[in-house]
Amino acid sequence: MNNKEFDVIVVGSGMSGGYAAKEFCEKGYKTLVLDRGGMVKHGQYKTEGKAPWQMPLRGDVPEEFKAEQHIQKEVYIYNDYTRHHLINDKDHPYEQKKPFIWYRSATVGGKSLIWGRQSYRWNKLDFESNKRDGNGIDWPVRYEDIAPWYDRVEPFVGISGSYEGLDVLPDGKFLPALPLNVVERDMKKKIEQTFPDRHFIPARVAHLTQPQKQHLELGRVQCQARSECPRGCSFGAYYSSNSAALPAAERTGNLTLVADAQVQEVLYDKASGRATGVAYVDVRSGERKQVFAKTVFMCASTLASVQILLNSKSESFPDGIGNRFDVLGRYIMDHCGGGGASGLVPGYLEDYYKGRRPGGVYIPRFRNIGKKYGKFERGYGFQCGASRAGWHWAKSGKGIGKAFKEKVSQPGNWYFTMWGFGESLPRYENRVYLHPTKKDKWGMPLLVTDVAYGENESAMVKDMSETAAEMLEAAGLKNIRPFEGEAPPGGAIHEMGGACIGREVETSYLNKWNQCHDVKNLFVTDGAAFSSVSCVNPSITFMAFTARAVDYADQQMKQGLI
Amino acid sequence: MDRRRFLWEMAIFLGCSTLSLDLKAVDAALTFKGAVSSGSGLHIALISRISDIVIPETDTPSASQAGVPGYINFYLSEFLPRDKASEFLGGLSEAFAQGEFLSLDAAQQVNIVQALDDALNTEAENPTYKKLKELIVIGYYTSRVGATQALRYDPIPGPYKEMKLAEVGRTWL
Repeated sequence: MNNKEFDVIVVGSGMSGGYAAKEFCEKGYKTLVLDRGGMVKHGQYKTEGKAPWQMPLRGDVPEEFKAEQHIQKEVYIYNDYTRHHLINDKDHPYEQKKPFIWYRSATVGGKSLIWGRQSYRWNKLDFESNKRDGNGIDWPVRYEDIAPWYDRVEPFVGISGSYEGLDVLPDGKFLPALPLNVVERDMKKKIEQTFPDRHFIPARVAHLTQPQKQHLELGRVQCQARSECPRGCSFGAYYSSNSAALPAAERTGNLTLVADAQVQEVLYDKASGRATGVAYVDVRSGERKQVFAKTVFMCASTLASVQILLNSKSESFPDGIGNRFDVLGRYIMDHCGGGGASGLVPGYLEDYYKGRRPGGVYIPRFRNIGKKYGKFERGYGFQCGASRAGWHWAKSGKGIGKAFKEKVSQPGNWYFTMWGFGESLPRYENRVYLHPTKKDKWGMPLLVTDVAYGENESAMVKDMSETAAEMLEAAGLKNIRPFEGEAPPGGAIHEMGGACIGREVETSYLNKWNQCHDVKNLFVTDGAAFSSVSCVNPSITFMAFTARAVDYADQQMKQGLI
Repeated sequence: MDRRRFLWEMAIFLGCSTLSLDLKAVDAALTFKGAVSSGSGLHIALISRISDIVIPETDTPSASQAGVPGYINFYLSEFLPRDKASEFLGGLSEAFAQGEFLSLDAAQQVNIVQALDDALNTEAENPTYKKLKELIVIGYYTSRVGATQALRYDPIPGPYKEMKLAEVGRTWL
């Protein structure tokens, strides 16, 4: 492979990298995708479909694995069915100057294999907020620029959703929405009547509710409501690189995918002023290799892309390729969360359901829309859902004998829970950088996280908790329990920023095409490119920017400009 | 008391060599006097009996019929760190009169378990019983028997669909 020249190198095969590979391959470019993770081919999901009694500890993870995954073990999907999809923290250390939870994938497909699958468009305001309130740098991109690329990405991904006509949460190209259940339908009426500015709608998720031709051609079929997604899904019923983008790239014959390849550096040629390729380590053999291409796309995940770019040092760029003005690693953000509430819904005891629905309810942002709220800048949305208590209460509940068995055999009350996800502010001082001396076992300098939330985020989380409780109250729920979690940055697994899009080289790393200001054939199209974070789940926006950047790079290459 | 034989049994149970057995584990195990004489692992018999008091045979099988004691044994030997397993066994021995519980009649046994269960989630709760109850419940309802007979289990439900409880009949796994 070393002798082969590629048109494009894509670093990473997750949400952004997988899609970049698909787009380039379909345009006819010989594309090399390098991923640090191990190979997981679609369908080769070793715990998929296993019943709990087929797992030795019924899903619990033995301590020796937890010890090696002391960060990953806290992620909400972590169990004996999924742990092999998450990184070994002992082999991949980082330094937390301030607390930062860095959840990472261990496989090809990256976090697309294990994501939450909630899929929402950004709105107009999201692209204007930095300019309006003066935090961070102004996006040289507006909603109108990106809307056509959502239009392109969404049908391929397959997103179920309802058409609502809301400015705050623009509609996309949807498959039929997941149904609200009877409890949610009644709550919707009460909440929307009491709070006309709040909308209670079906969650929009990347699940095939009605597969289309392009899904079926890739062997993707209807969601079966197993809710075992992070193990991998042979039905291809939720979107992942493994089930969709990589097979689409592969069938063109233009894809070369190399797993276990830890990219450490983007190579730079001073004479031409271009990136020439990348240097990587085969994490199994330790062998070091260099590969070359006309264009390099960084899609290694937000922090990993920044880490690699910072480590790409040359005479021209001693502080990392394209980083003449100390912009790389700045403005690291995540969604602040942990605020919400839950409550008991009286009644509906004759009503039940079949299937483990992959998404419930979404309440889009309502703070600082139209009029200024005053307590904080920006806003948050809620992910919610109603379901009946199952058997888990019995683990710590009272009762023995026949009566106990009978009680467990019938579902408990309905409960409704709301979790807030808020837009944290971009701050120049929230940054990551390379440790001056410490390296991992393959010689990659460790990343140091120096990121913290401020008063705006605290005020927002407090407000989430209060508004959640007030909505549950209005809907007639009982035993309402507000909560205010204090997850450190990284906890929402929506980390973004570090190689931000902006207008000038002095203040930003990328131009409006995700192109490095100083190195024209170097692009960053994962979360690192984001100059603010909205409050909605980011994955399809990563993909929309990626599609747009590939289109631009295609034109530039055809014109011989890069 | 055949101490050597006892150590050997404990070593098998805890999955380790006798040399690495910690003293606490030995002490905990030695409190099961009957285990040595019967040579059949009293703790298993004890756990089995308590499991069937918590989850007896009704129109669906009991905990021991669903293999719960085997799961708990595996959990203690393969999952819990050795000091925690020793602590659990010691606690079990204490709570159930060094295994003499097994020689009581059924009504007396139920009364003892009922009293321990009534104290759950109060200041008087017994931590070993609390853990045992949790293991019994998990072991039963995630077993094939428990999930498919005592509960409803559908590995591939198809699209989410609202139904009446009467149509489903039981709690979903």
